[in-house]
Amino acid sequence: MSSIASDTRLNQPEGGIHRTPGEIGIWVFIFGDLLVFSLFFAVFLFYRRVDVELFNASQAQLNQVFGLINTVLLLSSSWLVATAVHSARSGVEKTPPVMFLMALGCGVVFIINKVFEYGDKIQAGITVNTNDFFMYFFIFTGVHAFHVLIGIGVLAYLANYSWSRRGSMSTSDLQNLESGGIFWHLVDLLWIILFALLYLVN
Amino acid sequence: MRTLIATRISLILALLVGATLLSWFLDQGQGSSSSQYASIAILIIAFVKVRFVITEFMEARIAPLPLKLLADGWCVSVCTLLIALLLIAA
Repeated sequence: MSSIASDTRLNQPEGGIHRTPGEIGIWVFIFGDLLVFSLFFAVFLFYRRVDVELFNASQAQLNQVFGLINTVLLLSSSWLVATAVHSARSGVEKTPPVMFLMALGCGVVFIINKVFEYGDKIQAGITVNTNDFFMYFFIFTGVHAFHVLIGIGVLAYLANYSWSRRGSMSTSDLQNLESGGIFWHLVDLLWIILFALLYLVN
Repeated sequence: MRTLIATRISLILALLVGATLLSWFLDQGQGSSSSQYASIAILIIAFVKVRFVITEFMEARIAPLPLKLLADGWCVSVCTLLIALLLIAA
């Protein structure tokens, strides 16, 4: 088990040495997921052109504040996760688990926010069957929320993982933290485009 | 704590939140004639944000060239496709 302090590759990522962050497998998953969501985005805009008026009128019924708050929440959580990984790489012991837990908190608030938003729509009589716009809205944001829930589980694991290995983190431990972090950044990344497409573009 | 906050990724976070607010204001200020341009700008801003997340938070900037090219290629191709679909609808 090599000590993190002795591993210059991981300690000095800005030193001009190229390496794949995390495991290569996580990147295969990331690009696979991006491909699926790319299809979602294209399908949404493809069918939007069939009835632009309906899509714009439906979009006007969304509360954009929910989307804006959720975007800032996920961006902040991404910063917390990136900071946790950087801290672990620098050999800081207590900060990474706290940062992962704070990011987890942002994920939980995102889900609570989403539940309120869905509740608001359902109370107004808007469901997945209302029209094509809301069908895509509920399916795409639902699939994304499922990613958030998995991500919350990953962050809980990372918090426990970094706490149990504080002071004795190996190179492979750090790569595991990076891989988990990369998954959470994917969750953030997908929401950035969903927010633009579903809430803002008209 | 101060060393944690005063970092490169903190600057990136500030830029990403700023870009989010810019998109929000572009949406709020959309008139019927400027709507199409504002929507294209919102999409471009979204993909610039995505590229920052990939390069800075996911640390693809330290990755081997093929991974960087794949990431950049995805950003450019999907952004172009979506803008094209938006223009077709208009």
